[in-house]
Amino acid sequence: MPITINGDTGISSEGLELVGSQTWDNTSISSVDFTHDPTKYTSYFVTWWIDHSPQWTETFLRFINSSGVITSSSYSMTTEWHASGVGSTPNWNVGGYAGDGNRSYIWLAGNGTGFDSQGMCLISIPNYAENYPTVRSVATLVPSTINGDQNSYIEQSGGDLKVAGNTITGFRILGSNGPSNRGTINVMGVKRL
Amino acid sequence: MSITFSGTPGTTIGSQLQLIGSTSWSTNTSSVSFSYDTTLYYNLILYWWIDHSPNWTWTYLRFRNSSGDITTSDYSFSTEWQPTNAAANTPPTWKGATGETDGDGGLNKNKIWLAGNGAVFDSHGWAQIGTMGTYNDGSYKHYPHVRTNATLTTSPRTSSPTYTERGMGGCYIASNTITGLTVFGAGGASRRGYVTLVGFKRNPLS
Repeated sequence: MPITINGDTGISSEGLELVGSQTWDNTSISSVDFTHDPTKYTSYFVTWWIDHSPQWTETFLRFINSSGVITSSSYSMTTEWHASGVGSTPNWNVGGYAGDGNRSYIWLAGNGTGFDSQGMCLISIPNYAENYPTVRSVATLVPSTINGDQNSYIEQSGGDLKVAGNTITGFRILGSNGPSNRGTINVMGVKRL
Repeated sequence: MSITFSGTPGTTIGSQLQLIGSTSWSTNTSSVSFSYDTTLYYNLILYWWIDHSPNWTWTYLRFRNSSGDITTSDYSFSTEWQPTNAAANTPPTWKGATGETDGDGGLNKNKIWLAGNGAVFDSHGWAQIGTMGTYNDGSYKHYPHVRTNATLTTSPRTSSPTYTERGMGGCYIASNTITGLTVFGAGGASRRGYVTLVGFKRNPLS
């Protein structure tokens, strides 16, 4: 059955709305949690900028259920990063990050405390037992003044969690090794009608 | 000549980034069509999550004009996908727009690939769409085009890996004749899904 939608002139502003926002500066933050509302949102479009010092190192994502943050090795993902240096080639699925159903997080950016990362990712949480929550991310890893003038990296990843989507209650964005001293995260919800 | 940004800083996101349309379904659906005013929106973002079973298989996009979906071989697209179980430093599979002759990329295609393939997967992603519907110089053609980032997500229905995917494509028909777009399954219906299209409302032409 085809569906036709004729709302052709911006009839409302309800497609994408800000769900949450966090900014920290000169404060040690090791993770940021967001609560999923399946009655309102199908997906979340997240933008972030995070200083990876002093210990954040890598930017990870984990889903949350009623028992808390899901840390089991049930995640799958691919990774890719490409240095800005002339003649460099991308690195695909290297460094022990990628895997199929045997990882404990989804990698969004990294690594190094002498870098900042910024990017955007789409997180979809289908409200069904037969479907998995899934993530697609594009990012940049940018050297900070700690590192000085060196390569930046363009990065991307995609993955999922092999857990029923209708059991997911939220997600966490975290540093792999510890806190960040400054950063900002915005979460926009893709509204369901 | 240089121009500066117009508009009011601090304007709420809803007033400039506007909903074109949104839908969800829980019964077999084979396509979703949106119409939009290409003189108001030059850039749009499509968000989707779609269960590919029972027959959706691939997620594709076609533009629409006053006659309906454009199904002629006026499209070109390229694709890339990488499975989660690929060995370290295995390059993704690329299908370029030049010289490819199969259904995964090339010239003279009749649609643009967003994600695929397989009915045992779900796909989700976002696609940025450019469709410039008003020209100061009416003699100059622009073509509608798409850039997409997606995940082809495994499900309990399969032991296959998940795939990270991306692609791009265009339709070689003047964008001021475009009236909308259709997202559809190449193989048939999907049992459930969500699709939302938002547009960045442009300011008056300088």
